[in-house]
Amino acid sequence: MTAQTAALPRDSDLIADSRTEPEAFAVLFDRYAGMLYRYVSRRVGPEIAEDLVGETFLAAFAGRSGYDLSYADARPWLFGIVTNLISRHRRTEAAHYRALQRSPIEDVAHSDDDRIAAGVTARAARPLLARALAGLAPKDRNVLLLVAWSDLSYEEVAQALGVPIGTVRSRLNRARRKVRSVLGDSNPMREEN
Amino acid sequence: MDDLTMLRDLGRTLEHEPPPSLVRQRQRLLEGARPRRGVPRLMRGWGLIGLAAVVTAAAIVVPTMIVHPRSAKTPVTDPAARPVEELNLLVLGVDRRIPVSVVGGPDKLGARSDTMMLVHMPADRKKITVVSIPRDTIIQIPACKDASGTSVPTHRGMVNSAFTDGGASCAEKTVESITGIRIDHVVEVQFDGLKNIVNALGGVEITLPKAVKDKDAGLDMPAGRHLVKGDEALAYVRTRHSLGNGSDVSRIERQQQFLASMFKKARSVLTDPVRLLAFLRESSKTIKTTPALDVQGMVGVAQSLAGVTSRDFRFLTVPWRPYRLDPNRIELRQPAADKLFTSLGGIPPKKTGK
Repeated sequence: MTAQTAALPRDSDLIADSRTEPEAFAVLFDRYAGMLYRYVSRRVGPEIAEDLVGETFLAAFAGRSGYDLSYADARPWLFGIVTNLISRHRRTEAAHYRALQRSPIEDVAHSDDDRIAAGVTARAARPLLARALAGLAPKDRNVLLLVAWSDLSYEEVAQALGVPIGTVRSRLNRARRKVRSVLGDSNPMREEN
Repeated sequence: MDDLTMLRDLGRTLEHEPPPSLVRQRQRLLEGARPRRGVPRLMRGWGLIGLAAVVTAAAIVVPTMIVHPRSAKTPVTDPAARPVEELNLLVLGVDRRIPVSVVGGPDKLGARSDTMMLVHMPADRKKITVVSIPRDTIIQIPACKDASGTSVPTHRGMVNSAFTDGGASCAEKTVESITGIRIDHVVEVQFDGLKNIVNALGGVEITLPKAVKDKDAGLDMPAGRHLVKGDEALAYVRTRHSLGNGSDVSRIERQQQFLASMFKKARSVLTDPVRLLAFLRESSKTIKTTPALDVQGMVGVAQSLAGVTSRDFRFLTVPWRPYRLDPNRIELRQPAADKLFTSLGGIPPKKTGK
């Protein structure tokens, strides 16, 4: 996502600097606040996303002395914090998905024909997907959505959640199985592949 | 189509772009980060309030009201030495330097209020609450009269446009209408007057991380520590382009540092009676109260504040959220906003149509 050239300090350098120069932490904010905002807005909606992003950085700042500087990329760390904070808003998240089941959402304009076809299928599936997401165990949902909605690798997701990579795989499999079963149960438009 | 692809598609639909107001969270981070570096507790809330807070603090919080150079000539009109009552001030940071063309048509005042604060002093003066209202808050502005006496009908607009439309009285009317709080005095604070206050203090020390050359703002200083005075001080707090990252937030941050430095200076000066007098004189030239506070009123306020320390101040920003029709603007977040107004003794208007 961010190609870090030699000229740019690595995240870990900034965190190290911030231990003596707190202002250095603001650079991390500039790098990742937008990314986190997008992710949070997907999960709990835009109303509380901004505040959650702010809290994420405050929590990260407070915990910066415990950061393992051998990890140059701070994104897994930040995603881990934001995931924890989202779990405090489980009700909001559930309501967010429930709302999606009720009201069809406007689609983004697709330009070419087969994307329209794919778009139709996807759109039809959205309420079902939302229902499936709402029904997942929080731990499974965290893994599934980090994999699907962030750019983190499995290894980074494991790092973010502080679990072994095998756990990430098993949670992901379980979550996907459930999602597929909800889609398969009641979606005749679903294509087999 | 596989489930992960569908999920990604769903995610894209749900995604929102970060609003510009996200920078406020950056400010929150910086405020959280700084206190350990010795910024007085009093200052923490001031960053969001902005520069006029300096002058206001000088004007209201610090001893202003004790001595007013014009006060001796002002007849005492107050009918009675009133007992201490609740007092609500609306403080406006006003920048008259803004060219008329920037503000609007030729019928506009050419003045802009970028800072708006409601200062609530309860009758017991135990806790003083300062609520800042961000200038880009979209609210219903009541019908006002502009400078030429022409009526401006009620409309939705940015809260600071009330001042541009109809001056202090319109700003007062607007804030009263949304908060239901009766405002006793509007205090206009001139940005330009800041330099005189800084001069009266004998300058304020700033530290520049790197050399600054900004022709527009009239700044040309090498890196390091400087004692700034007059226009230079004004340019420093005003400039947006040549320092920091060019955002309003970085400017607010700089103003906050300036404030801290200024307060430090003010505290040392306050023990020097000669300089204190000059300081007060300059402060009072820079502020305008409507209706004007008379001697008795001022002395009364000053005395009522005698026991108040910086710890008794509470700094808040009115609860807000991004404005639904334009993410570059914000609107009051209800019911939190009304709850706040009610806690300050206001009777917010009943919402219709919602």
